[in-house]
Amino acid sequence: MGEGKIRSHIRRLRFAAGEMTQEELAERAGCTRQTIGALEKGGYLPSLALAFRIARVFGVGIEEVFEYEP
Amino acid sequence: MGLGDMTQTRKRAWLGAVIWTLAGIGFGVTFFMGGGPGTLPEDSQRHLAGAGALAFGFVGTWLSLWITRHRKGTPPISDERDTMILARANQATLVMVLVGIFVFSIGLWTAYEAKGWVPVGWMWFLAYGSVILSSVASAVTTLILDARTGGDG
Repeated sequence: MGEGKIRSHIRRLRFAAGEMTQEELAERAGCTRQTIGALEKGGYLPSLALAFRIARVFGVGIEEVFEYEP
Repeated sequence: MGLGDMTQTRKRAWLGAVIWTLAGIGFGVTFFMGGGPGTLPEDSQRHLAGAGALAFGFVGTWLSLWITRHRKGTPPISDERDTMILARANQATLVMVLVGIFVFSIGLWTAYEAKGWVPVGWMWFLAYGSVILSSVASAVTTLILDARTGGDG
């Protein structure tokens, strides 16, 4: 079975949340700005805990932040 | 992008790469200038200079850790991505050092097989060189992995 791909919608959610900056999201999610950038670029897959923390910042479910593409 | 905008891991890797490359150059000059491994055992000046190069690396590393420490009340400068990068860099470094020592040892064996003995100075090179190799390899691998997993975002 192939690994599939995880697509991140963080950038869209940030702009929908009043153009929240990467710094602000990072601070509220408890990670670095560079990791938020890496997640937006698709260069890094987060742990479940970080994924949940990011989803919580936006007040949405985890599946609205990260989408699995088989 | 300035040093201030980097993650702690990236800053430390850059500083480590520079510090240990300089230490390696200093050690290499000390070792190969003035006779190489053959005359090293009797040359206390070169022993001291080589130890000085290694001390420069360790003191520089300690200073870089102190300079890049996390200050209270400031945003996080490292997180789970950095932990993952460092773990993978350590794994890669271990393999590089093992391969390096293996190749070097076989090289010595091949070069000195006919003589039946190896100048003891090469053991000094192996000991110091493996420390420098591991430090440079770790820093460079960290920088590569950091860039491959998003870089500065």
